[in-house]
Amino acid sequence: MASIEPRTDASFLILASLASGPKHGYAMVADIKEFSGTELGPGTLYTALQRLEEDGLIAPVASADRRRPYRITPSGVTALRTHAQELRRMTGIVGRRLALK
Amino acid sequence: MKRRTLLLWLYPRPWRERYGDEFDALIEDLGASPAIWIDVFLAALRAHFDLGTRKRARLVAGPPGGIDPRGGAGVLVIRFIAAVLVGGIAVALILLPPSPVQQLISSTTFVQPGASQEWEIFFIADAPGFTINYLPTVTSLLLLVVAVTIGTLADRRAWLAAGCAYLVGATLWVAWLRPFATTWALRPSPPWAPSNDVWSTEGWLPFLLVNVLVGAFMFAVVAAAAPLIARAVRQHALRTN
Repeated sequence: MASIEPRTDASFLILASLASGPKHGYAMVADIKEFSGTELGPGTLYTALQRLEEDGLIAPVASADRRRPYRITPSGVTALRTHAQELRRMTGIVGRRLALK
Repeated sequence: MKRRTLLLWLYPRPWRERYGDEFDALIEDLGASPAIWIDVFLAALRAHFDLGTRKRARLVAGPPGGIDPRGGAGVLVIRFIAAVLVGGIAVALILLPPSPVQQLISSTTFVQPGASQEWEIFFIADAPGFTINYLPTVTSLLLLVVAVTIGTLADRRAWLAAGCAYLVGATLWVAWLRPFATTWALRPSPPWAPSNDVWSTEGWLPFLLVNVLVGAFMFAVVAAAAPLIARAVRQHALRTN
């Protein structure tokens, strides 16, 4: 199963954005900026979109508009869930370590 | 040309065919700020590289199908071999006497139109360890192998970029060689020169000029062979898909 590469935060942000429903490029950029404060450039966004699509984690939605929406696939949901659990585990460790200070 | 269209032009053709419309729409929505220019420029460079080197490049199942994967490992090997072969021909044209390019380097003869006077120009580079041949040979071959191997052989913009890179490289090289003696001579002396049989001077400009000319010739040879190799690469890609 394909997974999110830890270093590619853009992939995680995109999957997190699409978890709430299909979105086209501009909607993704706006949503990601709103929930994470990160403003993805178009080049960064489409580099990640291409990889996610090739890995089968997202899929384009048929549309007559130039602004093609994308949806998260079941594999994408699994990858996002795994990554989120990993982040929660790491956050817990960091929280416990900070509590010792 | 609109600025956003220019940004799209930076990407390789297969990428544009797959993502061009929606990417253009996104640029239209976001606007083309300097930060976006930089972001897109870096991403486009990566797209050129990825297209030729990603082993997992493949057709994505279902519509609209992902990008055209003309960049698998097998294709990469073919491109590399093609680069070495074509580069070898170009180098042979430079180094093996009595090639016309060799003669162009050592001395060039011009016959003035409408006159019987014969002009002969000599280019001499005395930098230790280097001859005038090495600059076009090494830099052109290097650029050739890189350009072809990263999978942009059929893309004329890649050759334009490689040509510009060559000019920059040649200029820097000549700037480095400038402290050494670089002589050029003209026989017979031109009217403005002292009345000697051979008029000579030292300078970096003629050295740069001859290297640019030879480099341009090499790129012309390679560009002429490029469509043939590109066709072979496409046929190989069709077979492997």
